[in-house]
Amino acid sequence: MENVVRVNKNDGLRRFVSIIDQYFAMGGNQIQFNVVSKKTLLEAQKNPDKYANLLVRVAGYSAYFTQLSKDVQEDIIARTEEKL
Amino acid sequence: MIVKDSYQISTEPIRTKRITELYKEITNSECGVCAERGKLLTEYYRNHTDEVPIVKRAKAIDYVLQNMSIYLLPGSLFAGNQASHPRWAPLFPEYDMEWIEEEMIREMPYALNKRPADRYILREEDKPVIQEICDWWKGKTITSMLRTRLPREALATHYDIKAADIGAYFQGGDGHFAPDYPWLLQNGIQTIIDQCNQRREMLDYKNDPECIKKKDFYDAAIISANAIIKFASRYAELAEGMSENESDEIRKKELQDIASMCRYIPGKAPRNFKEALQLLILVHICIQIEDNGAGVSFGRYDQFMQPFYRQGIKEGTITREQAVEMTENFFIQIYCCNKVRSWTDTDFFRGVPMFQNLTIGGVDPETMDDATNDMSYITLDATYNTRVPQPSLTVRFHKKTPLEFKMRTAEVIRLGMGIPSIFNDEVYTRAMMNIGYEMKDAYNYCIIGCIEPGVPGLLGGRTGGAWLNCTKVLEMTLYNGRDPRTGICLRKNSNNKDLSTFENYQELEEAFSDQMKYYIKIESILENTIDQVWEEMTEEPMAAIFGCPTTTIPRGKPIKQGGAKYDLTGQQTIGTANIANSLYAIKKLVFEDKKITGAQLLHALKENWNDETTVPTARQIQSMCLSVEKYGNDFDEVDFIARDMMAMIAAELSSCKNTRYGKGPIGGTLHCSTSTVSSNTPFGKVCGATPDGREAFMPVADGQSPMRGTDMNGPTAAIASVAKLHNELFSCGSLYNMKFSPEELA
Repeated sequence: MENVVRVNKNDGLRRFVSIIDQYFAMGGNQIQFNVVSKKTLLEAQKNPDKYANLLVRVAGYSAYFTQLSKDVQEDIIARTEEKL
Repeated sequence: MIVKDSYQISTEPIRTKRITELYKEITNSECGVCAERGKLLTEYYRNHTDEVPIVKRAKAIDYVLQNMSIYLLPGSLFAGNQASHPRWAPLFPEYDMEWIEEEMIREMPYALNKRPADRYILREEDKPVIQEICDWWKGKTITSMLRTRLPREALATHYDIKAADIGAYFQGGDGHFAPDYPWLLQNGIQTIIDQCNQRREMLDYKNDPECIKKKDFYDAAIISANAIIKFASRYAELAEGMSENESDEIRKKELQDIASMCRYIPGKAPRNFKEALQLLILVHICIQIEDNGAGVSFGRYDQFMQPFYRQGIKEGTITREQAVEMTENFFIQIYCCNKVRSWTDTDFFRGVPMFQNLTIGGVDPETMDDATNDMSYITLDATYNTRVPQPSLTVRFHKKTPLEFKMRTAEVIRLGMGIPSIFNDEVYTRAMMNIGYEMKDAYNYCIIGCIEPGVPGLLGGRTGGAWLNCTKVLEMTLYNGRDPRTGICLRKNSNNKDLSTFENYQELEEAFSDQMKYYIKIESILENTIDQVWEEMTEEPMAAIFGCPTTTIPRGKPIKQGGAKYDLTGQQTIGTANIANSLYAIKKLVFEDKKITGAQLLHALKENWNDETTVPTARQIQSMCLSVEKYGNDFDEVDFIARDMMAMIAAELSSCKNTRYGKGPIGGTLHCSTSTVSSNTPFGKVCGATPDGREAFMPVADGQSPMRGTDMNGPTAAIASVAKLHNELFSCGSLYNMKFSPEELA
């Protein structure tokens, strides 16, 4: 599946942890993440059967992407994809 | 395969045969409706009209527990089921039967299995049963009582304008607490019975005016505590029967184990890791059967399980692999719990979440040192391997959290499930102490539901109460208090002006603050009326004795009468980014740069940016609005508006009392969170175009995240904006969603 990546080095993961540290040092309170590409989400909309196990973060909880309504799916797709 | 030094991972889950089969079993189970609880509860209520509400409730739940179907998941090491099938949801007609009849019998607007999302199976043969249940409850439910008791303004705010919404609690129940598992695991349920008996004996009928109510409470508490012990013994019998017919020797032994555990606990305190988990599951299931509140959470799992784990390792009775497998088995058991909501309500809770939160990490409140332990890593492994949406996992970070633990947490996040979510001890504890928590309790916090802090065993009042649609309130401010969608005006602006007549930004901000305060007051009426009705009609003895045993039992009071150490009603604010961006766009375009007049902007909003006849055109005005700086890009002017408006809202919320104020608990007020669940979508559907450039009826922003697609300056700028909010004022929690592409985390 697209959102499953075989990892060979950890620079990204370390940068990711430092973003959390930096946010908390600034007075941030809570943070949660979707780690999934727009491409995967669009493909999952087209082929829901193939992506039946794709979990995403909606708000304070996670749910199976293909079981969400179209409007919530669109909301998640439209969220900004940040670069580290 | 985990190579610790380089944090390299394979992304394949590592599952034992048992977990593989259990995973298959539950992911193949479709959501469904189980009519048993509704039927049994109704039978009891129908035949016992002469009992006081709290005792009747205790006996009715006892009757449900002794008569509902029970089963064991194939291969599971533990017993405990909430309904007749995994992922089926029980019915709670006592809160509201109208939607049940409307959707399950009349199939309006959809049959449950034909819904566009959040579908449930409903068996044909259950429909007459459900009809009978509905017939009896007509006119007797919490919802019908609420409708006759709520003032007109509150009903209009909730049903029509949708500036506040509390529909989830019309349909019941409370939920949103973490039972006192450390206490329950140490004492066992029999201790509750003994303590209640003793206190009941000691009641001073001559001098204590409350003692009749206290006697009722102790009666109910003892019935409920005995009910769970009897419920467990039903599983013991079931497992014994199954073991007799089991040919596989290993499984036979496992079934015998279940039987002997269910004979010993929950009455007595568990003796080992496995029994501790079995007690957790039974208590959790009983709470979920008493009422259908979401967000029933587990507290600091790694902290209270660690002693059992260490003891097992020391004695050689458990291995790390077994502890991982049992934790995974436990996760799967609780993922079987479900709740069915009305179609309208699902819009706010899309994706059938249960918010069963489980917390790991953080500090030890006694030593203030890092509390990460073996069980913290074991829990992360279990989440990594099970990959189901429940429990929602919380990881507490603080200044001394080991890098290794952070990296392992990041590896689990990288899987893309959105779990776990990360919390900052330094800010959460300060926010809690600011609302009245003692320091030791604050540092012992766990997350309840989505992102709300609570202390296991000490907190009453729901953390995730009503929603405040701040975007709607801002919109009405622009129309002098009138809701343009429904035409209803409950309150005119304090200066009787609208967007076309405000003379400066200050006038707009004052009018908005005044409208916010008015709708916060209405929200407190909604919250408190619901609590008052529950206190009089239902009460929850199980929530009282499992939720807060160390205070409800000595006080002889359930939670709604003031039985908890802390009691706060959490309020969720929707649209932080939209109000900040909208206010700033007006400030900049109308009052500072004078590019357009307030009247021109108001016209463009009314037309939803569709009027090509004006100069500039409505579409041009929209692009002006969109190009103004937005929250989420580390731009002080707009970020400070977000900070100040949210601070005003949080202060106003915590000045409102709840029904337990002055009755024993610390707190006794509402307080603020920025959690949205999926309500940003339905709340967007009732809000017209807004000055941030948003089109009418589109979703508003989630949590306190920047509006989607408007944070364009990278993650460092985005976090800087979000961190600028006065997060210490959100004593009921903060929510920020960030999205990365997987290759970024390689």
